Amino acid sequence: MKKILSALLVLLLALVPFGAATLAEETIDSTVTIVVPFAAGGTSDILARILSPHLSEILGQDVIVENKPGAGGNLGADVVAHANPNGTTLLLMDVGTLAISPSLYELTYDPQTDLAPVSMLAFTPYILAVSPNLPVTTFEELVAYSQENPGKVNVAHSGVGAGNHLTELVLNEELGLDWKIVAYSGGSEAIRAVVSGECDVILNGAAATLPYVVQDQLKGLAVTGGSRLADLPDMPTFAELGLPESEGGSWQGLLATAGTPESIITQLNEAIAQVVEIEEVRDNILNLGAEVSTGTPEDLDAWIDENVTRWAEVIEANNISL
Amino acid sequence: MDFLQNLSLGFSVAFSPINLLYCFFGALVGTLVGVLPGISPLNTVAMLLPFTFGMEPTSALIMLAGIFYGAQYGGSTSAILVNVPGETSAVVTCLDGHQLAKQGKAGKALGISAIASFIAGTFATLLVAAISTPLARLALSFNSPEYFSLMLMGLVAAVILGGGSTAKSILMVLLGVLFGLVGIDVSSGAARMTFGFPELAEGMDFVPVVVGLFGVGEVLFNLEKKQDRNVMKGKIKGLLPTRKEFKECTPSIIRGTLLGSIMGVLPGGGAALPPFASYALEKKLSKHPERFGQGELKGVAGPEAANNAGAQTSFIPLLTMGIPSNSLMALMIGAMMIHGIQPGPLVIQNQPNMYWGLVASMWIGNLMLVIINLPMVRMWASLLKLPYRMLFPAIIMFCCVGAFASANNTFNIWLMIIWGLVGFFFKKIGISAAPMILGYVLGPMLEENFRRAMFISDGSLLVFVQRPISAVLLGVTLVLLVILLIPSVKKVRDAATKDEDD
Amino acid sequence: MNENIGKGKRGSWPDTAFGIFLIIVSAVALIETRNLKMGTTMDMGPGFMPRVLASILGVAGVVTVVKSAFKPHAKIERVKLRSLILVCASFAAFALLLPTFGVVVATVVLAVLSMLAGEEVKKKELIIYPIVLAAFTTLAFVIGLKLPMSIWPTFL
Repeated sequence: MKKILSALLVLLLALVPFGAATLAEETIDSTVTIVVPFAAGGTSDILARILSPHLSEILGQDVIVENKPGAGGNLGADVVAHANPNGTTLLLMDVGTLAISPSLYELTYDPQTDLAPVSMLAFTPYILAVSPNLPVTTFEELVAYSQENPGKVNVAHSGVGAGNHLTELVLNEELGLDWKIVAYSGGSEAIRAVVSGECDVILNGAAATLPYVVQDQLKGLAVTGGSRLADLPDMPTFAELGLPESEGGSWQGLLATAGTPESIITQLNEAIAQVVEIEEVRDNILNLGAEVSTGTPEDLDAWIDENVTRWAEVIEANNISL
Repeated sequence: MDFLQNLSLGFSVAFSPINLLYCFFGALVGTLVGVLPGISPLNTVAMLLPFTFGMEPTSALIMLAGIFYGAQYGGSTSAILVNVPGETSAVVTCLDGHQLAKQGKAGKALGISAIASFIAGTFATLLVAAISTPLARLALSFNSPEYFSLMLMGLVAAVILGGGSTAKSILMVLLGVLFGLVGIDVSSGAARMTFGFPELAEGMDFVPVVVGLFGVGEVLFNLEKKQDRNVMKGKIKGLLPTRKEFKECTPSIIRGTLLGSIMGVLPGGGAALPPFASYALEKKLSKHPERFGQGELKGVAGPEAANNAGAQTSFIPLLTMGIPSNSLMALMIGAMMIHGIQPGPLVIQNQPNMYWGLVASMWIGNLMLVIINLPMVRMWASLLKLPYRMLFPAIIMFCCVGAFASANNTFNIWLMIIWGLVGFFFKKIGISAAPMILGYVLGPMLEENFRRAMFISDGSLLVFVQRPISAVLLGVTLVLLVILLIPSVKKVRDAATKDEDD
Repeated sequence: MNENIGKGKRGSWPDTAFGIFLIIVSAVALIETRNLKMGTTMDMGPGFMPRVLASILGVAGVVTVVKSAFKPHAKIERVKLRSLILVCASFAAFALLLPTFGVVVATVVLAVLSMLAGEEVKKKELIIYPIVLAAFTTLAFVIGLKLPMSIWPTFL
């Protein structure tokens, strides 16, 4: 009798979670942690800190930002991939990096299946700029100059396997430029090298590069993204020039753990949509050199799938391995 | 004169009550996080960043800058008292500062460090105001060959710094370089010596390595001894250095200030090099080099001045070109951009209030730090009256929390344990770990810049001597090497003859 | 240990130990970097610097060991295993307990273990001090500096 009773009890207890799930729509019920898989101070970090107080207000829960740097963002992403799927552990990072990782590293998680996209957040285009000493003023002239000086044009990027590195490889390959592509540790190092003339060309995030172009320490030739920059109305876009990778840049997105209930993903997505409507938030993101670019979870999912495939091809074609 | 006009504009901005308040708050918080080993000003600035959104950009930057140089003051406090350097820059302060504390002269060490820092800070502030633009232009002309030569010079200086045998110091520097290479190689992207740990992909974090080597190693070593040995014995006498001691230290402070001011401007080595270089210089110039490492006041005064001057002048590349000389300056760029200020040469022209206000606040902040720190010297020193059995669990706890906080990761605690054992081992066999740390910091940059210089020059070694600044730096390195080798030849000979006498 | 103290005795144990340390580090580094591209001095691969350094350190290690045998005698003080193990255990306990049990439990265990490592253990302190430390850690780091650590066990 006792055995039967306890068995029944176990069965009942086991049923409780199912019952709860069907009875009420699940919502976020405790403190939310936004994991930023990079050190404090980068774009992702600052973006997370801009959003978190407002997100907290809308969700009615504390929202804290936690930096988990390491392994090019994969350490923090792995934490979220293996977290409790209840929407309280979120990942905020450059999803371009997330899409490149599977082709370069042996990962302990799968960005496409272990993470649940919530929403794209913001976009920062790339600027293609050259050293002021280089005798070119347009992209066409740069192409001509590069072809006249094969192997002599030094092109800086912020790190092997970074988005700007791969994009430089694509440009080099598709336009037949024979660039010498030089690695630096970080974007500011790469910019310094071009400003000082050690390198001739750089492709780098607009936020960090724009000031140098505005102040004539670099000559801006082209920008990625859908439109010209307000600060540099004369600089054409990649699309206008017919260049590949015209949508390249840094795309910040928010993701949760795979298996998070639909209702929570929707709740988060709607909260984000509300937060980016706040003028203060918009201004702060704009000051960061980024523009708000949100969408549905499905949009982000499709974006990641598409980019994983694309970068895998680029990486294989260029025989990059780490 | 423009210079005076600018400064007076700056002071009028910095002396507004609200800015004074933020400056004080920043300096105070900075001192606190500096005292706590492992809690870096980098973390703190990042955590306080969101609270600056609603502030005037000038006030925000004044406060964040205060945290940075406040931490430099605080870092030396924990270096002197518990032999745990809060920052790279405080590694050198451990050497003689902690010896002084053991001899009951903690107050003197803390006092001279505060005074030296203040003098250096005052001078560096004037320097930032006067020559930021031309110096920044010089730093901008540095390419990979110059960086390589600079790092090489730094490493040779590190060997001079190491007490005891020159051969062992060289080996320690090389060990440091090897350990520094752990992680992803910048030039090729290959992961090296990571033993399959993703946590090591970006290299071994600085905090667990130094906290382990110095903090944990020291605790383990001390526990071996009879525990009547408190960190220091007897009463704390002479909280301030005497007039005579101060006079003796003045030349060291001046030299440290000059050295630090120049090196702070140079990106890369800026944060770590000045105190090391100053220590090496003082030791070379001293009539009693054997006193260094045994509690020589000059060994605290010079590096502390260099450290603080360097911290201040590292704002020069940031403010004039928007180029950060270390990771904290990179964060300051983020802070400026949040407030809609694009860092660069135009800041001085477009935002003179902000620029000169910040410069003036640095001096005010330094004055405040002396006022905060000197009375607290007594408080910090009284901490040492605690019996060691009460003190070391607290140190262990600080080490743990610090290692964890460096990446919010318990992996770094494990890493710290390993480095603690290594530090303990070095203490047991009587070898100074300080040169290794410099190798560890500069090694990867040395390799990166060498390989990049070779890659860009198509494999020609001549680039290192064809470029004038690089050639000069290499020349200085050569001279240092010669200086290094001559006395050591003598030392070896002395040791050999001693052996025969035995 | 006594037989080592004698006039004319040779062999510097600290030097021998340092040499062995260098040899071990060198060997581990050489094994761990065996698959990296070496390159040439003019065009270094990722394996160049670590392997060259490791080789130099290895050779220096052997030389140090050999030379140490001819140096004036010096010994290494005996290691007190008890305090060494207890302190390491206190770190390890903190690292293991922190993620699930929170900072209070982790600090108390750390404090108790490390206090046991001391020579003099007072019962009263052993009860009060860990609680004081835990309270301080919680107030200063979790509440004050907002480090991302949970205060109490996460499963409660």
